[in-house]
Amino acid sequence: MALTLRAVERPPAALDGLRLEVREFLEHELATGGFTPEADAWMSGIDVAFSRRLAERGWVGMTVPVPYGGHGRSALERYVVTEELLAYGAPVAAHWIADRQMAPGILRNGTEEQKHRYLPGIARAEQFIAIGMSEPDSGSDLASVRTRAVETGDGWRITGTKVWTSAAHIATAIVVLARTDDAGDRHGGLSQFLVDLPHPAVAISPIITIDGAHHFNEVVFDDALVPRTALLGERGEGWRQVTAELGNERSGPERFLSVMPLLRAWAATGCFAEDPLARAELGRLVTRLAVLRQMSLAVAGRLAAGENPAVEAALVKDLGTGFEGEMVEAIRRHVDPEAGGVPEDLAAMLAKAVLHVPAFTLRGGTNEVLRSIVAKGLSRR
Amino acid sequence: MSEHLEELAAAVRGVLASRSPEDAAAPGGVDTALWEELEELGFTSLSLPEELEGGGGTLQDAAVVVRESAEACAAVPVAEALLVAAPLLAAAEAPLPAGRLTVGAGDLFAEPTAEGEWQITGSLPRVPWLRSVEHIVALVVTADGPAVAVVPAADPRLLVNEGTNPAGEQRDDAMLDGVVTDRVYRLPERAWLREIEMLGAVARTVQMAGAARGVLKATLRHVQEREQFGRPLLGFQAVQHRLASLAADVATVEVAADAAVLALMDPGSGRELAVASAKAQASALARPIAAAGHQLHGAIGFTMEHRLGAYTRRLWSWRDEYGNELLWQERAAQLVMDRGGDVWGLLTGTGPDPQAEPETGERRAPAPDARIESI
Repeated sequence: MALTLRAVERPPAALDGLRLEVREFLEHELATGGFTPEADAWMSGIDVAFSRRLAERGWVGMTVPVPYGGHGRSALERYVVTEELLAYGAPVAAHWIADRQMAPGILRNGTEEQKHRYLPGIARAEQFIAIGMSEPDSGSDLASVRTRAVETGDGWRITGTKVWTSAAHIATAIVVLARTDDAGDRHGGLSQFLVDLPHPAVAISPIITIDGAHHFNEVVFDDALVPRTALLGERGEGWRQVTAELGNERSGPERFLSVMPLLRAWAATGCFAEDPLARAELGRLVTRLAVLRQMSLAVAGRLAAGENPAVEAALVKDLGTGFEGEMVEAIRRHVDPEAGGVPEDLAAMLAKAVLHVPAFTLRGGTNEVLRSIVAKGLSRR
Repeated sequence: MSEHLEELAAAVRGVLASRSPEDAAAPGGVDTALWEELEELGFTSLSLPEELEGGGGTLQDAAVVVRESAEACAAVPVAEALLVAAPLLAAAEAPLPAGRLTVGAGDLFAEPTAEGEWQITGSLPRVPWLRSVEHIVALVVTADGPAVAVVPAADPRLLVNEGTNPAGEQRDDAMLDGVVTDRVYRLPERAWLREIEMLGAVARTVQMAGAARGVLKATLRHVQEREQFGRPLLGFQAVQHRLASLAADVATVEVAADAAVLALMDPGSGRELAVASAKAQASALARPIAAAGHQLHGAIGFTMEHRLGAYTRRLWSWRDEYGNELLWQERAAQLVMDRGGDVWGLLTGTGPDPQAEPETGERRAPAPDARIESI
C-alpha cells in the first residue's frame, strides 16, 4: 500500500513576489470596477476582456514554452497565480480549461503544427478551447461515449452529441473524444479531435443551470467534416490521453478554493470579536483549509516532478470538493440573510454559491467514482 | 519521502519490529529494554545538536522515529524526548541526560540553594510516563527568567499522583516540594509555555499520523482477507467507499503532521497556523478514522486480543492531549483576527504583517457601475 502524500515545504519565498504582483493587479481591477468577485467564477465567470488583460500580464499559458508563445514558467508559479485568481473570485472561466488542461494536452500529444496553431492563441487569450467528453448517455462511464468519427478520403466525419460543455459558446475550438474504431477493449478505439469553432455542422445550444446562468452547452456534431490534421495524438489512444489530462483536471487549487471569495467576504465583516460561535466556525474552516491546501500542493508537486499521482489526486479532490460545499453551508448558518444587516455583496455571493454547490462533487469525476479509484489504488498496491 | 528519511524509517522499524504489541492491552509502563536499544543506537537523541552530544538530526528526522514508534504502538517516550525535550534543551544549550526521560511544564519555580544547587517547587500536570522515567526535562521559572531543569524523577520530594489516559499510557501528576538538582539552564525570554504546547501538539499529531496509518493498514488487510456472502469484504462497493474515505482522512493527518514539522523548522511566518491546523485536524479526524476502522473490522476489532484497539485507544487519547480541536481552532481564528480578518493572507503567509497597525475592517464598496463585460 503505497498511497502516500508528503507535505511539501511552503512555496519558496521567491514566489511571494509573483503572488503579490498578481494580488496588486487584482486589487487594481477591483478598485476600477474590472470585475465583481464571485464564488466559483472559474467555472461560470466568463469575461473575455478580463482574460485578455490577464494574458497581457503573462498569466495565461504560463507553463507553455516560449517557442509556442507561452511564458515558460514553472507549474508552481502557475499554481500561485491560479490560487490568487480563485481567492479573489476573478472571472477566469473563458480561458480556464484551455490554460489548465488543453494546453498541456496539446503539448503532450499534438503535432508541431497543432502546437503552433493553438498554443500562442491560448497564451494570448484569443483561443478558448472547450472539452467535449460527457454525452447524454455517458457521464461517469466515459468509455461508453457514442460520438463517432469516421475516416473519409480527406479527413474525418464526426457525429454525436456532447453535453455539459462549459464555455463552448465562446470557444474557438473544442477537443472531442470520439470512437474511431471498434476495439475488443472498451477503452480502446477512442481518439481525440481538435475541432475549430464555429463549424457549419456543429450546433451549440445553451443548457441553463439552476442559478439561471449559462455556461454549460449541448454541442451537436452532425456529420461534421474535419481535416485529417484535426486528430490530436494517436488514433485509438484517446482513453490514455484523456486520463493523463485528468491529473491536470483534478489536482488544481480550484478543487478546494471555489468558495474562497465567500470566506474572505465573511471574514472581512469582522463579526468574530463579539460572536464566539462564528469564531469557532471560522477556526474550524481555516484549519481544514490550511491542511487541504498542503495536500493540494503535495499533489501539484508530484505532478510538477513528472509523476501521475492519479489516486492521490482523486483522494484530494474528493476531500476538497466535499469541503467546499460544507464551507458554503457553514457560512450560510452564520450570515443568515433573513436576519438583515448582511452586506449586500456578501448576501449575493452566498445566494449564488448555494446554487453552485451541487456541481462541486460532480464535475471532473463524481466523488463516488473518485472513491472507487482510491479503493482500487489501495488494494492494487 | 527522501531516500535518507526512508532509510531512517526502515532502520527504526527494524528495532521496533520485535517489540510491538499484538493486542490492545494497556502498556505496563515504558518498555525499558526497547528504550535502551533505541538510546544506544542514538535514536532518542537524534534531534539534539551534535555539540550537545546529540545526533545532529532535524525535526523531520525525529518525526520519522516518532511516527514509526507510534505505528508500532511502542511504549517509549520518544515523542516527548525528540520533539519536545530536545528543542527545549537545545534552546537552553543543555545536554540531553542519559536514561529514560520525559517532559513537563507547569508552574515550577527554581531558586538557588546555599550549596550552589537549585531547589524546585510547584506542580506538573499529566506528565507522560513519569513513573517509568529517570528524568523530567522541565520548564522552570527563576528570579532571572525562564530555564530548563533536569529533574530527577525518583526524588523523594517529588510526589506522584498516578493516572492513565484512555490508552492506558501513564499520565501522572507531580507535586514538587523542594526537589534538588545541581543546575538549571537559562532559556532566552519567550512564551515558553505556549511554545511547549506547540511542540507537544506537533509531537502528538505525528504520533496520531503513525497510529492512523496503523488503522488503515490493519483495515485494508482485514477487508481483503475476510469473506462474507462468498467474497472478500473489499468486493462490496459500500466497503470500498468507506475504505477510501478512511484513507483520505489518514492521508490528511499525515500531511498535516508533515506540514507542522516543516513549519517548526522554518522560522518564517506560518508556524502557528501550521501547528494549529495540524493538531485541530488530527484531533477532529481521530473519530472518523477510529470509527471506520472499527466498522470495517466488525466485532473482532473491539476485542482486547486484537491490535486495532491499540491504535484507536491511542488516537482517542492523543486527540485530547496538548489541546483538542476546539482549542486549536480557536487559536487559528485568533490568527485571522490578528490580521484584521485577512484569512487569505494568513493561509498564504503573505500580506500585511499582523504586528503592523490594525486594519479598520472596512469593506470595499463595489464601484457604482462595475459592470463586467460578459459574453
